[in-house]
Order: sequence, then structure tokens, then C-alpha cells
Amino acid sequence: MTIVFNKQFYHLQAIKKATEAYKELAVFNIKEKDNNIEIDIDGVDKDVKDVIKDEFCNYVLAETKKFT
Amino acid sequence: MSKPNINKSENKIVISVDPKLYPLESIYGAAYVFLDRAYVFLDGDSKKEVYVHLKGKKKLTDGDMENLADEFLNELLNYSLRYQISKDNRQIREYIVGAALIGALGENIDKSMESDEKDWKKDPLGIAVPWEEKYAKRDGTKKKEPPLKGAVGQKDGKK
Repeated sequence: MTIVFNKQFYHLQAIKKATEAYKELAVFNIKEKDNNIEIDIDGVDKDVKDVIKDEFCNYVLAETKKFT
Repeated sequence: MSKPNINKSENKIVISVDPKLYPLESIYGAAYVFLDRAYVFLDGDSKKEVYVHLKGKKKLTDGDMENLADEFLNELLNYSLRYQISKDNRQIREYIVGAALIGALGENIDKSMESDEKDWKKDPLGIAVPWEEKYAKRDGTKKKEPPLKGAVGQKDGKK
């Protein structure tokens, strides 16, 4: 699955922190494209498969707020 | 700001926010408040139109979704006002903190001077001890001293 974060709202450092926190649950691949940061998520743990995307986005938002 | 777009099948609401009316900082603040109740995602253009996606963590009814949207808008207004007040009062806040820090610094200076005075009274270097006493203590016996010219109360009575 892929999540596209808009750079105007999300901080790259926040995304890196979130991937670090979630590294036990999935494999994350970060790509920067123009105005976006794309995150490919693979190898997701079965238990969190349904919620990992949304929970990850919340985590990134919470981390981003710390930078503002 | 247009009416919130409710997507019942996805259990999601999309709220469009004008960043000219509500600064981005207030959008972050309001979004942060809702992190425990909903999944929040931001998108759009930070200068023209910001889309706030709120997806319920639990299954929401139509009424719940409308309430969630309304509560978000209220929180947005709350944070917007807080941000504005914080911005307006920034100078005076900095002045108060600065004055408090300077005051605390002055207090420390006074305390260090007081402790210096106390040290002086203790005479840690032994400056106030007479030369004779100091000298006698070193080898246990009092050495003979040359009589001082014009000294009063000499043993031999000579002047």
C-alpha cells in the first residue's frame, strides 16, 4: 500500500520518526516526488493490517505538529 | 468554507478549510485534538484550500459524523483565536520573560556577593591572624623578635 503525504503539511523528519516507530510492524520505503513524499508499505504484520495506514498517518501528523 | 463532505461508506468526512481565515497552525492544533477519536489526514494547498479528512475510529452514524465535523470546526475556531492572541501578545510575553530572567540573575549576583562577605568574615586565608601567633604556631616556640622602635609595653621597659 502507498501513502502520499503533501510536503506542505507533513515534515520529512516526522515521517522518518514514524517509520522508525513502526519498523517492527512493516517495511517502509520513502520516496520524495516533487511536492509529495510517497511511502510504500510492505510486509505488514497481520494483526495491524487494517489500521496501520490510518494509525501511521495520525502518528506522522502528531510528529509534524512538534515541528510547527 | 463549504459544507463538510460526508462519505458514509468510508466512515469519513472531508472538511474544506480556507487557510486565509484559519492559519495552518490552528488546523494542526484542531487536528491534534481529534487524533484520539478519528484518523486525521491533511491535503490540498496550504495557501488556497486545505482538506481535512476525518475518519472515525469507530463506526459513525450520520449524526455522529455531523457532530464530529461541527466539533472540529469549533476547535478550529478555538485554536485560531488562541493563535491570534499568542501572536498579538508575543512582544509583551517576551518582555515579561526577559524581565523575570534579568530579575533572577540580579538575585544570584546579590547572593554571590553575600557569600563573599561571609567568606571574608571567616578569614579563610588567615590574613587577620597576627604575625606573631602564626609564626609561633609553626615551630611550637616563640622566637625572639627585634624590638620595634617606639613600641609601647615592652618587657625590658626601654624606650
